[in-house]
Amino acid sequence: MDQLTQQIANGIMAGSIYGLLAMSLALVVGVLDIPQFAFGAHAMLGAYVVTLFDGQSYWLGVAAAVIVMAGVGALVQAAVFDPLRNAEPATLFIAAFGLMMVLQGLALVVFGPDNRSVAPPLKGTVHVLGALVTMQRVLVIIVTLVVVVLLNLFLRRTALGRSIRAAGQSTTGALVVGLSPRRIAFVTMALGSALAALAGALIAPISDVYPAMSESLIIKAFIIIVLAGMGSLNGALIGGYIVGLSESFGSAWLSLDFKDAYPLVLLVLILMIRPRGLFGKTVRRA
Amino acid sequence: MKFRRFRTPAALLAAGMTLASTSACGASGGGSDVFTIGAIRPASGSLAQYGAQFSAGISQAVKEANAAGGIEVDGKKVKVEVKYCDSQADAAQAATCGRKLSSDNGVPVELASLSIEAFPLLAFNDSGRSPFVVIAGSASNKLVTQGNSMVARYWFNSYQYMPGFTKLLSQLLEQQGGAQAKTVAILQSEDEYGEAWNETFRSGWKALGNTVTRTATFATNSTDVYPQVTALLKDKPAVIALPGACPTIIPGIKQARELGFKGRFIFAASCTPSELIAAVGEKAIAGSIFEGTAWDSGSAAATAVKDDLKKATGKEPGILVGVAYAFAKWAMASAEKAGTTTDARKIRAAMADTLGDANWNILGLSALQKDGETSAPIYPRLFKSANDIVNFTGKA
Repeated sequence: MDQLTQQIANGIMAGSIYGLLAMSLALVVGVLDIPQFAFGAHAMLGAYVVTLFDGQSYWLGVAAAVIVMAGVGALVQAAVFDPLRNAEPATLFIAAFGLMMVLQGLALVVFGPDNRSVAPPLKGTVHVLGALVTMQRVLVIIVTLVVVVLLNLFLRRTALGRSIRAAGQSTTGALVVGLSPRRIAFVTMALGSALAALAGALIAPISDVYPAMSESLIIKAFIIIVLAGMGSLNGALIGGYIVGLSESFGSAWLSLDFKDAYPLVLLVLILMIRPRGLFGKTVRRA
Repeated sequence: MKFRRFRTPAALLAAGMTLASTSACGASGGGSDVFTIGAIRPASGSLAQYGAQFSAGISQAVKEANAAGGIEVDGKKVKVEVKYCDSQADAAQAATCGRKLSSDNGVPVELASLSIEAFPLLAFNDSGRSPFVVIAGSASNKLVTQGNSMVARYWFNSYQYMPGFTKLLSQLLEQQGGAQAKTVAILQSEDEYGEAWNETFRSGWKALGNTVTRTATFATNSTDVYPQVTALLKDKPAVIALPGACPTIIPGIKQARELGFKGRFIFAASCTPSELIAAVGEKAIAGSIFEGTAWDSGSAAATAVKDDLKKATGKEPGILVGVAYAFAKWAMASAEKAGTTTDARKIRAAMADTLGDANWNILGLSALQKDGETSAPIYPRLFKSANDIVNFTGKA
């Protein structure tokens, strides 16, 4: 094993998962201004859906996770955030946090406390320039990149995607041109939830599945969207890679003991130099 | 004027209620008709699986006692009940649990599954109007060095057993592959248990002239330990030590193998071969060393308890289930011996006598001291396959 390339590979692999979850968050924060802490729980539930298909078809499990959690996202928007659409940001924060706890508790009751595991669909490892990478982790990297491309195409080339971007820039403007912000909110939350579920489905064969599995991931996702700039989707993915690589290199060359602190230190340094984040833009919201 | 008419009856009523509540506390007598045990464990969060195993063991012990009509205290049969509290593996929450169980339920004994649950309780269990005994499964020295007279350890103190264990381990690995086979890296969990194990192992291992290459830590809810394992593999250790309960260390085993580690692992007493085989398969742990205890030795107590638990739960019990079972049994046996269900100090005083050769003493612990310490030997077990595990107790 070559240490340098292994550390790069480790950082990119971790960064892909962080980035995917951060993108789901960036979408919802950017368009709806909702700090959706519960997306960590959505990722966890997506992983649980995949466990239900363990032994049958992993791919069917992933598809089911994405579809089911898209539905859950829409339901959450209808039941929790739509009624609070005129509430203070602190109220949305509390609602999101409470939702996260409810979903974790629900998972504990429904699925029990025992950890579950999912067999990876692709077994074995490959050597890439001296680094050892499992096929599942290669899959994570590839799927993340494909999803980013598809998401960009959706947001730029489809009417619905452009509507989402418009609503994210100006709710009043969207109303003026006949768009329905509430309908867009449902779609956005469903899309964000589907992305989070995909992240969970990709992690499931790598790590055990249990109700609290995504707690640390969602915190990193929040760090990433702030570091990248609120609302920047592609920035969220790049931010994910930056965080993944900082953890990997920091652990290897500085100290293993502060692995989880490196993203925070990086965040502070970046915000000191560029307060709106690496890719954030100064926008006036109507 | 109206109130004067009711003043005397009200005062009498208040006095009566006070008298009734005082007698219900039963500070000096045999106490109540139910022996209530408090049990603090993580029922949610990243250690929920651990907590579930703990609850299963306690529930089974209590169920058996009640099926036999209860325990015998002061000549009469008394039912046993457990009041559980979810610590969420958080010290502050554990302290709240401890206070609540003591003040609301008046429990004379509280069972704590983790060090992080036990330590906060020691701040108030030995004082105040409602003292209670803490039976804990902590491996840390801190449990018995705080001058607390109401604590008892039902687990192994790594400061006590590690010198003997590392000596045997060194001999075993020398036989297996010479000096090179004795370079060890440690991947420990970020908790008291992991720190205590790491500190005592390093000390014992280096005292024998052996090498600990590097140590890395991981949070118990980590999904990815690639950075840590990559750093450990830099020095090409022959062995990676992974102290911790099975659910927390399984990602470490899988990911070390994914990164090309072909050497052995060392596992602490809290993780047994049967649990790991189910999770990672035999091949992943072939050649590894487990800390062996009386639970593994085929003792009469361990065999009987394992059979009972297997019949009750339908699956092979892990050591944590057995330990929790023994916690509850020890509490019940001590209440019987002390002749009280409420006097915590009498129960604690009786605990040394009830340990010994008890048929529930699955870890073979003995010699309960005033500070709460107990002792038992631990030895290396070489895992070759599921049907071939060699207990190593000295040079052949």
